[in-house]
Amino acid sequence: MNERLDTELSAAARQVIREARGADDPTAEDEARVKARWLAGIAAGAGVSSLSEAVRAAASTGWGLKAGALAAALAAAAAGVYLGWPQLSESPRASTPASSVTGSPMTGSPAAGSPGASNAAPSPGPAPRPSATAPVTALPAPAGASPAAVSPPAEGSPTQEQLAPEPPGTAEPQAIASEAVPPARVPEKAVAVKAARAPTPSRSVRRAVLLKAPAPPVERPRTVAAPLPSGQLGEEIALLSEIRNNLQSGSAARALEQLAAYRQRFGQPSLAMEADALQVDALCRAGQRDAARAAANAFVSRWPGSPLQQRVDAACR
Amino acid sequence: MVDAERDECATPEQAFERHFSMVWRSLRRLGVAPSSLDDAAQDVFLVLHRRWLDFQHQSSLKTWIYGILLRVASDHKRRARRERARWSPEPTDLESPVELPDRILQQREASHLLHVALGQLDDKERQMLVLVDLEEGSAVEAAEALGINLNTAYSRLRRGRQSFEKALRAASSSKPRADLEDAARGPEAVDITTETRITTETNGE
Repeated sequence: MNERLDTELSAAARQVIREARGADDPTAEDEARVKARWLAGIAAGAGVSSLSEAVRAAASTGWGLKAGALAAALAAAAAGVYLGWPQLSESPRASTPASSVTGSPMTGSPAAGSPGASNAAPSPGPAPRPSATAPVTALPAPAGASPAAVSPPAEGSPTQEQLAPEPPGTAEPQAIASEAVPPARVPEKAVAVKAARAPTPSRSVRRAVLLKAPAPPVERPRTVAAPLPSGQLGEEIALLSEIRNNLQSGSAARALEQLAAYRQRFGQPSLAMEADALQVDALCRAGQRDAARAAANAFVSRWPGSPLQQRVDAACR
Repeated sequence: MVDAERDECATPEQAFERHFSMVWRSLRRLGVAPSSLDDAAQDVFLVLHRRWLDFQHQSSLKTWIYGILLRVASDHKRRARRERARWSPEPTDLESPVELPDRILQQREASHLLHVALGQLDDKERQMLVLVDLEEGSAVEAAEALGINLNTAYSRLRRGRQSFEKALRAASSSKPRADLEDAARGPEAVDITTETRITTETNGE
């Protein structure tokens, strides 16, 4: 292939390359995590050609990954890296009252600064968002949405359990990601830990999540995988993609019904942002322009910097 | 399942399964910071997904994905450079490994050297080296992915290999075996070198 080159690599250089092989490869958890985020990202996007297949894959063992890996992935996604969990700016320990275990974690005001810097992404990509939306009571609920729909995962959510690898009081939020990584792979572990750390302001939120989790396990589990029903992400994606299909085929009223059903079924859905975006779209297409505008405004406040913002903006045009 | 020998994937999901490792690894080796890897990898596949129907098979799928990941890597690095000015550097105080088999130490050491050396290359050289020498693509594929002509690709590759050899020699002499903690810690330290170099370069241009 490279016969035209007059400079080949030396044997020593080739040896370094050979020996380093595999060192930068992703772990199964890396793959599952990114895949879950990717699927979540396209779940509410336009022009998806093969999502149903993705859904089948995600919902079944056909994903090629263990259910545990999927759970870990969903946990990572729901932890706010992608799905728009709030990024609060206060220091974790001081600002999270113990009462958060049972109540809403009113951990602080929205961060005024930029979100986790290194995570800002091009238009379709993920971006951590700085505003405080975690506490249910602090949410600017989209006008068109049912109240339940706008709550992030809270008590009793299976996702929540995933997010509680450590008991309150000793929890370091950034441990979440590192739990999913085999101990021998230190470079990857570093990746995971830093990935979790990157949006610095989110720590307190994650802590809040930890505190809210029911019955946190005393021991630190090796992975965050165990208790999540592996099908939930798949089911959520399936329903959302059905809703989107209905929207595209002109059944906006049906889509609105389904969105309500989605919210009822998954009281604290993992894909709340995606559902909110679809809600705006559905209201527009159903001709409820005022409600759509209100929902769009609510979307901006709830999900600032969302990769779906463009789509929301374009909905009523 | 798709025939593993062929570079044909019927769906984006299959493309993901088949090419995720390559994407992840290459992003890392192109200098995307560990904390941005998730985002960058996701971006690559979001773009892939969005443009899936545009893919005309005028090049191989792998080459097409290379093209996407090269742009995404550049974007993320550019953003990281901007943000670095405002944000404190990422913490590197991770615990070091306790006991590791020689093989893994050797791999880490090699990986460390590799990243240090890659960090010394300019972006264009690094792209060629990653695509051709690390991912074992051809210069033709690299040229396609980068949208440059073949002669340019060859000359970049030639320069890249020379710089790489030089950087590797410098890195192996200045980094004695004892310095394994850095290696174990991963290529984080390399970024600084990379960024410094790139910054200098950008200023020079």
